[in-house]
Amino acid sequence: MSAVPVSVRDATGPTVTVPRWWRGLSWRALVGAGGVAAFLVAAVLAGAVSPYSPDALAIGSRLEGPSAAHLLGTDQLGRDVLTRILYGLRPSLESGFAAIMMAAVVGVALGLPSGYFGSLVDTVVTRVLDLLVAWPAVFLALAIVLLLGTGELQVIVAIGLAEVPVFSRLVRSIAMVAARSDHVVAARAAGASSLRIMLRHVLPFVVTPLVVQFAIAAPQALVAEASLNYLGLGTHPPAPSLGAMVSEGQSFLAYAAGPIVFPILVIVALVVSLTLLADGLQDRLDPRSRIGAR
Amino acid sequence: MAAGTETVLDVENLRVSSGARGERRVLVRGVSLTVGRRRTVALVGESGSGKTLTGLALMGLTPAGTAVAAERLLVGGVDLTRMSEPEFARVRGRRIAMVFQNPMEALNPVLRVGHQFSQVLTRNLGVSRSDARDRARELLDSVGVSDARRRLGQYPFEMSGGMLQRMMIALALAAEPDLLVADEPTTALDTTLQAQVMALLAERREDVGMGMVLVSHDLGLVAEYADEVNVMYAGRVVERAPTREMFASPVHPYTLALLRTVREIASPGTDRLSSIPGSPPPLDDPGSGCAFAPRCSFATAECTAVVPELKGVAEGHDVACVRSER
Repeated sequence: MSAVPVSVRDATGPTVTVPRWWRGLSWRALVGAGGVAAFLVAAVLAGAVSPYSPDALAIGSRLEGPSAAHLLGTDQLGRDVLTRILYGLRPSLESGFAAIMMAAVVGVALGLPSGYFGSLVDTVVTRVLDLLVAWPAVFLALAIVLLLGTGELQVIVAIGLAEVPVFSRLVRSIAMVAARSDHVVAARAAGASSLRIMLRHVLPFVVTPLVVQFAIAAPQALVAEASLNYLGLGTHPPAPSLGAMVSEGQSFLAYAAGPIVFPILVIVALVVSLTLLADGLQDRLDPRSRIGAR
Repeated sequence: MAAGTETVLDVENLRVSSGARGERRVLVRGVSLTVGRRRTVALVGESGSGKTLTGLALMGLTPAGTAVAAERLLVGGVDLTRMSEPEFARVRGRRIAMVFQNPMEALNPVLRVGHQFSQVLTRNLGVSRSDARDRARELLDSVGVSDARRRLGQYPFEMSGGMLQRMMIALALAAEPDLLVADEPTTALDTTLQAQVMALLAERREDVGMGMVLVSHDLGLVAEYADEVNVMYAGRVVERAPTREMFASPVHPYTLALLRTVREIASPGTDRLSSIPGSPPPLDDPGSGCAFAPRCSFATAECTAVVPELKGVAEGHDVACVRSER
C-alpha cells in the first residue's frame, strides 16, 4: 500500500502522526534532487544572473571560445551561449512538466474507470491506447505538429499524448486490483456510488506509484522536448531552446564546438539528475523494492 | 416459516453464471430462499459450494464478468432484479446490508474510521456532517465499542479485528436495513470473540427488526444462531430444514457427512472426527446427475442419471436426494 506514516504514541495523549518520508532517501535521490533544483533555480534566475540578452546579436564576436566575458563562448550570431542555455532551460522544464502533468491527468481519467469497471469500458480505452502506442512517438509528434502547427503548446500535447498510455496502464493495473479489494466491495455494500469509490477508495492507492512514474517520465519527456526542438518543431527562433541550439550549432561545428557541446552537456546533466531522483524516489516509495532492500 | 412473520427476503431460482454467452459457466444453480423479519437463515457448505457467491448475488456485488438472474428477488417487498446499477447502489446500505468475513480488510486503510462513518451516514441517512458524528457515537455505543470519540479518530490498522467487526456491524446496520447478509462474520476472529460477535448480531437483529442471511461453514455457530439451515453443495441447496430438525434428523447423505465432521455433533463414543473423502467438484462442472454422487457412500446408478429436485420430507424440510423420494 502507500507509505504508512510513522505513528508515535505516548501512553496518555492522542495519536501523533509524523510523516517522516524523507528518512531513508538514498544518496541518488539527494544528488538527483540537488541537480534538478539547481537547474530550476538557474532557469528561474536566468535574467538576473546573465548580463546579456539571449537574443542580443554581436556580429563582431561570433563563434568565440570560452572567455571571461562569455563563459561558454558565443554562437554563430555572437549570442552568449551560457545566457541562451539558461533561457533555453525554461521551455524544456516547462513543457516537460506540463506534458507529464497532462499525461498523468489524462492517464488517471482513462485508467481509473478502465481498471475499475473492466469489461466494455476497459476494452475501448485499452484499444484506443494501443492504437496510440503503435505509432512511433516521433511520427505521432510530427502528425500533431502537422495538424496544429509548430510551437511550445504543440510540443506539450505531442509529448503528453505519447506518455498517456504508460500512465493509463499503470493506473488501470492498480485500479483493477483495488476494485477487487475487500474494502471496495464493502464500500459498495454500504451503497457508495462508483464515482465516489473511484475517487475515495481507489485513487489514494494510485498516488504513490503515480509520483514514481512522474519521476520516471520526466527525463524521457525532457529528451523528447529537446528532440522535437532539434527537429525545429518547437519554439520559434530566435527564442532559445536547448534542442534548437544543438541543431543551429551543427552547421558551425567545424569552427566552434561550444555552441553545440554545452547545450548537450546540460541536457545530459539534467536527464541524469532526473533519473537519479526517479530511482531514489522509487526505492523510497515502492514498498516492494523497499522490502527487498532490508 | 412461522405464520404472521413478515417476509423481508424472497428469492426464487437465483442463478449466477460467468463467462461470455457462448461458453457460459453456471456457478449457482437455482437457489430459493425466504427470510422473515427477525429470523436468521443460514447457508452452509464447504468452500466452493457457492454460498458466498449466493450472498454476494443478493447484494448485487458478484465479481465483474458474472451475471445474476432470478425469477424473483424481493427485499422488503422491492424487486431488485429490475434495478439499474445506480438504483441498486441506493438500496445497498439502506434496505440490504452486508457484513464481511475479514473486518481488517473491509475498511479503507488510508482513511480514518470516523471519516468513513460520516461518509456512509450522510449518504444513507441524509443527515448533516455534525449529526453524522453524533449518530456514529450512538452506533458505536450500540455495538459495545467504548471510547467512541477516540476510536473514530483512529485508522483501521490501529484496532483489533473484533473491534473492527463491531464497527462494521454498526455501519451496516446504521440505516436499519430489512436484510443483513453476514458472510462468515466470525471466521477471521479469535474463537473467544465469535460468541460475542454472534450475540451482538442476534441482539441487533431483534432491535432493528431485520432478517439475516448467515453464510457460514461453522455448523456449531449455525446450530446456535440460525432458525433455518440451507445446506449447499456445488451451487445448489441440497437440504433445507428448521435448525432443530436439521441437526436432529438430517436426510441428505451430504448433510449427514457434514454433521459427522463436527465433534460435538458426532455420535458419542467416537474419538476421531470423520472427513468426507474427495473434494467438491468445480462449481461450473458438477458432472451429470447428483453432484455429490461421486463422494456418496449410498450412490447408485440412478444418482448419476438425474439431478434430484428439492422435495418435502416433513413440514418445512426439503431434500434433494433420490433416496428420500422412496
